[in-house]
Amino acid sequence: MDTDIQLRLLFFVSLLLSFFLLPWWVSVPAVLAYCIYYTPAVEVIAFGFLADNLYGVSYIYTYIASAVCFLVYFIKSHIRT
Amino acid sequence: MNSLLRSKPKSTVKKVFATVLFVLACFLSLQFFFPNVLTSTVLFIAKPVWMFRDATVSSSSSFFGLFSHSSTLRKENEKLRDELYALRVREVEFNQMQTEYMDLKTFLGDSASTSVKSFNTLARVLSKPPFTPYDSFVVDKGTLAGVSIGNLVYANEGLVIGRVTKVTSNASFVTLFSSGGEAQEFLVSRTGVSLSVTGKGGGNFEIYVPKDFDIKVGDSLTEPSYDVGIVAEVYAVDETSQNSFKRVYARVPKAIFRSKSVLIGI
Repeated sequence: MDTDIQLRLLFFVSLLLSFFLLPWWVSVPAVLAYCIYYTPAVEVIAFGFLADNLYGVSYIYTYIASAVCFLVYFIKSHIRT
Repeated sequence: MNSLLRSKPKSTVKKVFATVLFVLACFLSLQFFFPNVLTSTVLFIAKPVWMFRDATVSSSSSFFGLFSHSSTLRKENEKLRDELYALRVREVEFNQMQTEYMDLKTFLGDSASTSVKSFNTLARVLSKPPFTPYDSFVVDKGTLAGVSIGNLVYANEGLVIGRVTKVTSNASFVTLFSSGGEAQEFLVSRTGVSLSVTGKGGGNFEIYVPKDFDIKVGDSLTEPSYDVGIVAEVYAVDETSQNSFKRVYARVPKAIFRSKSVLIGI
Protein backbone atom coordinates (compact mmCIF):
# COMPACT_ATOMS: atom_id res chain seq x y z
CA MET A 1 0.00 0.00 0.00
CA ASP A 2 1.13 3.53 -0.78
CA THR A 3 2.75 5.31 2.20
CA ASP A 4 0.47 8.33 1.77
CA ILE A 5 -2.63 6.15 1.91
CA GLN A 6 -1.24 4.35 4.97
CA LEU A 7 -0.66 7.68 6.69
CA ARG A 8 -4.14 8.86 5.77
CA LEU A 9 -5.64 5.67 7.14
CA LEU A 10 -3.63 5.98 10.35
CA PHE A 11 -4.72 9.61 10.75
CA PHE A 12 -8.34 8.58 10.11
CA VAL A 13 -8.28 5.83 12.75
CA SER A 14 -6.59 8.17 15.25
CA LEU A 15 -9.31 10.75 14.67
CA LEU A 16 -11.99 8.12 15.07
CA LEU A 17 -10.51 7.09 18.43
CA SER A 18 -10.11 10.71 19.48
CA PHE A 19 -13.89 11.17 19.14
CA PHE A 20 -14.43 8.51 21.78
CA LEU A 21 -11.47 9.21 24.04
CA LEU A 22 -10.59 12.88 23.90
CA PRO A 23 -12.49 16.12 24.59
CA TRP A 24 -14.34 17.60 21.60
CA TRP A 25 -12.01 20.63 21.53
CA VAL A 26 -9.14 18.30 20.64
CA SER A 27 -11.04 16.23 18.06
CA VAL A 28 -12.63 19.12 16.17
CA PRO A 29 -9.37 21.03 15.36
CA ALA A 30 -7.74 17.70 14.46
CA VAL A 31 -10.53 16.95 12.01
CA LEU A 32 -10.17 20.44 10.54
CA ALA A 33 -6.42 19.88 10.09
CA TYR A 34 -7.17 16.53 8.42
CA CYS A 35 -9.66 18.24 6.14
CA ILE A 36 -7.14 20.92 5.14
CA TYR A 37 -4.27 18.48 4.59
CA TYR A 38 -6.19 15.81 2.67
CA THR A 39 -8.55 17.72 0.40
CA PRO A 40 -11.17 16.70 -0.57
CA ALA A 41 -11.73 14.74 2.65
CA VAL A 42 -15.29 13.51 2.22
CA GLU A 43 -14.83 11.09 5.13
CA VAL A 44 -15.01 14.13 7.43
CA ILE A 45 -18.80 13.99 6.95
CA ALA A 46 -18.69 10.60 8.64
CA PHE A 47 -17.06 12.23 11.67
CA GLY A 48 -19.85 14.80 11.78
CA PHE A 49 -22.39 12.02 11.56
CA LEU A 50 -20.60 10.10 14.31
CA ALA A 51 -20.54 13.17 16.58
CA ASP A 52 -24.26 13.76 16.03
CA ASN A 53 -25.04 10.18 16.97
CA LEU A 54 -22.68 10.17 19.94
CA TYR A 55 -23.80 13.41 21.56
CA GLY A 56 -27.32 13.23 20.19
CA VAL A 57 -28.69 16.62 21.13
CA SER A 58 -29.22 18.06 17.66
CA TYR A 59 -28.20 16.99 14.17
CA ILE A 60 -25.89 19.77 13.12
CA TYR A 61 -22.36 18.38 12.88
CA THR A 62 -23.13 16.40 9.70
CA TYR A 63 -24.13 19.63 7.93
CA ILE A 64 -21.18 21.58 9.35
CA ALA A 65 -18.75 18.84 8.30
CA SER A 66 -20.20 18.77 4.75
CA ALA A 67 -19.95 22.54 4.45
CA VAL A 68 -16.40 22.61 5.83
CA CYS A 69 -15.32 19.77 3.56
CA PHE A 70 -16.55 21.58 0.46
CA LEU A 71 -15.43 25.07 1.52
CA VAL A 72 -11.90 23.93 2.38
CA TYR A 73 -11.61 22.25 -1.01
CA PHE A 74 -13.06 25.29 -2.78
CA ILE A 75 -10.69 27.73 -1.02
CA LYS A 76 -7.66 25.49 -1.51
CA SER A 77 -8.33 25.04 -5.22
CA HIS A 78 -8.70 28.80 -5.67
CA ILE A 79 -5.51 29.55 -3.77
CA ARG A 80 -3.64 27.09 -6.01
CA THR A 81 -4.87 28.75 -9.19
CA MET B 1 -1.39 25.80 -20.75
CA ASN B 2 -2.41 28.49 -18.36
CA SER B 3 -6.08 28.21 -19.38
CA LEU B 4 -5.92 24.46 -18.95
CA LEU B 5 -4.62 24.86 -15.42
CA ARG B 6 -7.41 27.28 -14.62
CA SER B 7 -10.20 25.26 -16.13
CA LYS B 8 -9.28 22.06 -14.30
CA PRO B 9 -10.32 23.01 -10.74
CA LYS B 10 -13.73 24.32 -11.85
CA SER B 11 -14.84 20.91 -13.09
CA THR B 12 -13.37 19.13 -10.09
CA VAL B 13 -15.06 21.63 -7.74
CA LYS B 14 -18.38 20.57 -9.24
CA LYS B 15 -17.44 16.92 -8.83
CA VAL B 16 -16.43 17.43 -5.21
CA PHE B 17 -19.63 19.37 -4.54
CA ALA B 18 -21.67 16.55 -6.05
CA THR B 19 -19.74 13.95 -4.01
CA VAL B 20 -20.26 15.90 -0.79
CA LEU B 21 -23.98 16.21 -1.53
CA PHE B 22 -24.20 12.51 -2.34
CA VAL B 23 -22.43 11.46 0.88
CA LEU B 24 -24.56 13.88 2.90
CA ALA B 25 -27.73 12.52 1.29
CA CYS B 26 -26.62 8.96 2.08
CA PHE B 27 -26.06 9.78 5.76
CA LEU B 28 -29.29 11.75 6.05
CA SER B 29 -31.35 8.98 4.48
CA LEU B 30 -29.68 6.48 6.81
CA GLN B 31 -30.61 8.73 9.71
CA PHE B 32 -34.16 9.13 8.40
CA PHE B 33 -34.88 5.44 7.86
CA PHE B 34 -32.96 3.95 10.80
CA PRO B 35 -32.68 6.70 13.44
CA ASN B 36 -32.51 4.58 16.59
CA VAL B 37 -30.60 1.70 15.03
CA LEU B 38 -27.65 3.93 14.14
CA THR B 39 -27.52 5.67 17.51
CA SER B 40 -27.76 2.32 19.29
CA THR B 41 -24.96 0.90 17.14
CA VAL B 42 -22.69 3.89 17.73
CA LEU B 43 -23.36 3.73 21.47
CA PHE B 44 -22.83 -0.04 21.47
CA ILE B 45 -19.31 0.59 20.12
CA ALA B 46 -18.71 3.65 22.31
CA LYS B 47 -19.80 2.14 25.64
CA PRO B 48 -16.82 -0.21 26.22
CA VAL B 49 -14.41 2.45 24.93
CA TRP B 50 -15.80 5.05 27.36
CA MET B 51 -15.68 2.55 30.23
CA PHE B 52 -12.08 1.74 29.37
CA ARG B 53 -11.25 5.48 29.25
CA ASP B 54 -12.85 6.12 32.66
CA ALA B 55 -11.08 3.11 34.19
CA THR B 56 -7.72 4.22 32.77
CA VAL B 57 -8.16 7.80 33.98
CA SER B 58 -9.14 6.77 37.52
CA SER B 59 -6.37 4.17 37.84
CA SER B 60 -3.70 6.55 36.51
CA SER B 61 -4.83 9.32 38.87
CA SER B 62 -4.64 6.93 41.83
CA PHE B 63 -1.19 5.77 40.66
CA PHE B 64 0.16 9.33 40.49
CA GLY B 65 -1.51 10.00 43.83
CA LEU B 66 1.03 7.61 45.39
CA PHE B 67 3.75 10.16 44.77
CA SER B 68 2.00 12.98 46.60
CA HIS B 69 3.90 14.52 49.47
CA SER B 70 2.92 13.23 52.91
CA SER B 71 2.22 16.74 54.27
CA THR B 72 -0.12 17.42 51.35
CA LEU B 73 -1.91 14.17 52.09
CA ARG B 74 -2.16 15.04 55.79
CA LYS B 75 -3.66 18.43 54.98
CA GLU B 76 -6.09 16.88 52.53
CA ASN B 77 -7.06 14.29 55.11
CA GLU B 78 -7.77 16.98 57.70
CA LYS B 79 -9.79 18.98 55.17
CA LEU B 80 -11.83 15.92 54.22
CA ARG B 81 -12.50 15.12 57.89
CA ASP B 82 -13.78 18.65 58.43
CA GLU B 83 -15.98 18.37 55.37
CA LEU B 84 -17.27 15.00 56.55
CA TYR B 85 -18.14 16.42 59.95
CA ALA B 86 -19.96 19.38 58.36
CA LEU B 87 -21.85 17.05 56.04
CA ARG B 88 -22.91 14.82 58.97
CA VAL B 89 -24.30 17.86 60.74
CA ARG B 90 -26.14 18.87 57.59
CA GLU B 91 -27.46 15.35 57.13
CA VAL B 92 -28.96 15.40 60.61
CA GLU B 93 -30.56 18.78 59.89
CA PHE B 94 -31.79 17.56 56.53
CA ASN B 95 -33.36 14.40 57.96
CA GLN B 96 -35.09 16.44 60.63
CA MET B 97 -36.43 18.89 58.05
CA GLN B 98 -37.54 16.10 55.78
CA THR B 99 -39.51 14.48 58.58
CA GLU B 100 -41.15 17.80 59.43
CA TYR B 101 -41.88 18.38 55.77
CA MET B 102 -43.51 14.96 55.33
CA ASP B 103 -45.58 15.50 58.49
CA LEU B 104 -46.75 18.84 57.15
CA LYS B 105 -47.59 17.31 53.78
CA THR B 106 -49.67 14.58 55.41
CA PHE B 107 -51.32 17.13 57.69
CA LEU B 108 -52.22 19.36 54.74
CA GLY B 109 -53.82 16.46 52.92
CA ASP B 110 -51.32 15.98 50.13
CA SER B 111 -50.54 12.33 49.58
CA ALA B 112 -47.02 11.57 50.76
CA SER B 113 -46.45 9.24 47.88
CA THR B 114 -46.83 12.01 45.32
CA SER B 115 -44.36 14.30 47.01
CA VAL B 116 -41.59 11.74 47.18
CA LYS B 117 -39.74 11.34 43.93
CA SER B 118 -39.29 7.78 42.81
CA PHE B 119 -35.69 7.30 41.81
CA ASN B 120 -36.10 3.98 40.12
CA THR B 121 -32.91 4.13 38.18
CA LEU B 122 -29.36 4.86 39.09
CA ALA B 123 -27.48 5.39 35.86
CA ARG B 124 -23.78 5.53 35.20
CA VAL B 125 -22.54 8.56 33.26
CA LEU B 126 -20.74 7.35 30.14
CA SER B 127 -19.86 10.66 28.57
CA LYS B 128 -20.01 14.23 29.81
CA PRO B 129 -18.35 17.61 29.20
CA PRO B 130 -15.61 18.29 28.17
CA PHE B 131 -15.88 15.12 26.07
CA THR B 132 -19.27 16.20 24.74
CA PRO B 133 -19.61 19.62 23.09
CA TYR B 134 -22.94 20.43 24.74
CA ASP B 135 -24.07 20.46 28.37
CA SER B 136 -25.25 16.92 27.96
CA PHE B 137 -24.67 13.50 29.48
CA VAL B 138 -24.86 10.05 27.96
CA VAL B 139 -25.98 7.54 30.58
CA ASP B 140 -26.06 3.76 30.49
CA LYS B 141 -29.78 3.18 31.12
CA GLY B 142 -32.38 3.22 28.37
CA THR B 143 -35.88 2.01 27.54
CA LEU B 144 -35.10 -1.46 28.90
CA ALA B 145 -34.67 0.10 32.36
CA GLY B 146 -37.90 2.08 31.94
CA VAL B 147 -36.37 5.41 31.00
CA SER B 148 -38.40 7.57 28.65
CA ILE B 149 -38.10 11.00 27.04
CA GLY B 150 -38.89 13.82 29.47
CA ASN B 151 -37.79 12.01 32.65
CA LEU B 152 -36.11 14.32 35.11
CA VAL B 153 -32.49 13.61 35.98
CA TYR B 154 -30.97 14.30 39.42
CA ALA B 155 -27.36 14.66 40.48
CA ASN B 156 -28.50 13.62 43.96
CA GLU B 157 -31.79 13.66 45.83
CA GLY B 158 -32.82 17.28 45.66
CA LEU B 159 -30.68 18.58 42.80
CA VAL B 160 -32.41 18.42 39.42
CA ILE B 161 -29.96 18.84 36.56
CA GLY B 162 -31.81 18.07 33.34
CA ARG B 163 -34.16 15.97 31.28
CA VAL B 164 -33.86 12.86 29.14
CA THR B 165 -34.10 14.03 25.52
CA LYS B 166 -33.31 10.88 23.58
CA VAL B 167 -33.46 7.21 24.51
CA THR B 168 -32.15 4.02 23.00
CA SER B 169 -32.61 0.54 24.44
CA ASN B 170 -29.45 0.67 26.58
CA ALA B 171 -28.53 4.34 26.83
CA SER B 172 -30.08 7.78 27.17
CA PHE B 173 -29.09 11.32 26.32
CA VAL B 174 -29.62 13.86 29.06
CA THR B 175 -29.77 17.55 28.17
CA LEU B 176 -28.88 19.67 31.16
CA PHE B 177 -31.00 22.71 31.99
CA SER B 178 -27.80 24.75 31.76
CA SER B 179 -27.32 23.85 28.08
CA GLY B 180 -26.58 26.97 26.05
CA GLY B 181 -29.76 28.70 24.88
CA GLU B 182 -32.14 26.40 26.79
CA ALA B 183 -34.89 28.59 28.26
CA GLN B 184 -36.87 27.13 31.15
CA GLU B 185 -39.44 28.31 33.65
CA PHE B 186 -38.20 27.97 37.23
CA LEU B 187 -39.48 29.13 40.59
CA VAL B 188 -37.63 31.27 43.08
CA SER B 189 -38.05 29.04 46.15
CA ARG B 190 -38.06 31.95 48.65
CA THR B 191 -40.87 33.88 46.96
CA GLY B 192 -42.53 31.24 44.78
CA VAL B 193 -42.43 33.54 41.75
CA SER B 194 -41.90 31.94 38.34
CA LEU B 195 -39.31 33.31 35.92
CA SER B 196 -37.65 32.43 32.63
CA VAL B 197 -34.07 31.23 33.04
CA THR B 198 -31.66 30.78 30.14
CA GLY B 199 -28.85 28.23 30.19
CA LYS B 200 -25.38 29.55 29.40
CA GLY B 201 -23.40 26.30 29.40
CA GLY B 202 -20.99 24.92 31.99
CA GLY B 203 -23.71 24.68 34.66
CA ASN B 204 -24.44 28.41 34.48
CA PHE B 205 -27.69 30.31 34.01
CA GLU B 206 -28.62 33.91 33.23
CA ILE B 207 -31.84 35.71 34.06
CA TYR B 208 -33.14 39.14 32.99
CA VAL B 209 -35.65 40.58 35.40
CA PRO B 210 -36.97 44.08 36.18
CA LYS B 211 -34.84 45.96 38.70
CA ASP B 212 -37.57 45.85 41.33
CA PHE B 213 -37.89 42.05 41.08
CA ASP B 214 -37.29 40.38 44.46
CA ILE B 215 -34.27 38.13 43.96
CA LYS B 216 -30.98 38.11 45.82
CA VAL B 217 -27.70 36.23 46.12
CA GLY B 218 -28.24 32.79 47.70
CA ASP B 219 -31.80 32.32 46.40
CA SER B 220 -32.56 28.85 45.08
CA LEU B 221 -34.30 28.16 41.78
CA THR B 222 -36.52 25.09 41.69
CA GLU B 223 -38.26 22.98 39.08
CA PRO B 224 -41.96 23.99 38.99
CA SER B 225 -43.33 20.47 38.46
CA TYR B 226 -41.64 19.17 41.61
CA ASP B 227 -41.83 20.78 45.01
CA VAL B 228 -38.46 19.46 46.08
CA GLY B 229 -35.42 19.76 43.84
CA ILE B 230 -33.12 22.70 43.48
CA VAL B 231 -31.93 23.51 39.98
CA ALA B 232 -29.56 26.40 40.64
CA GLU B 233 -28.46 28.96 43.15
CA VAL B 234 -28.11 32.70 42.52
CA TYR B 235 -24.51 33.83 43.00
CA ALA B 236 -24.49 37.35 41.55
CA VAL B 237 -26.89 40.15 40.69
CA ASP B 238 -25.74 42.86 38.29
CA GLU B 239 -27.77 46.05 38.62
CA THR B 240 -25.31 48.36 36.92
CA SER B 241 -27.04 48.50 33.53
CA GLN B 242 -28.70 51.75 32.48
CA ASN B 243 -32.03 50.19 31.53
CA SER B 244 -34.78 49.03 33.85
CA PHE B 245 -33.62 45.41 33.93
CA LYS B 246 -31.02 43.65 36.02
CA ARG B 247 -28.97 40.60 35.10
CA VAL B 248 -28.98 37.71 37.56
CA TYR B 249 -26.39 34.93 37.43
CA ALA B 250 -27.07 31.48 38.83
CA ARG B 251 -25.21 28.19 38.77
CA VAL B 252 -25.71 24.56 39.73
CA PRO B 253 -24.60 24.21 43.38
CA LYS B 254 -22.45 21.15 42.67
CA ALA B 255 -19.62 20.19 40.34
CA ILE B 256 -22.00 18.16 38.17
CA PHE B 257 -19.41 17.46 35.50
CA ARG B 258 -17.56 15.28 38.03
CA SER B 259 -20.61 13.10 38.60
CA LYS B 260 -20.03 9.45 37.84
CA SER B 261 -23.67 8.52 38.24
CA VAL B 262 -27.06 10.20 38.18
CA LEU B 263 -30.56 9.34 39.33
CA ILE B 264 -33.37 9.19 36.83
CA GLY B 265 -36.85 9.87 38.16
CA ILE B 266 -39.22 7.52 36.36
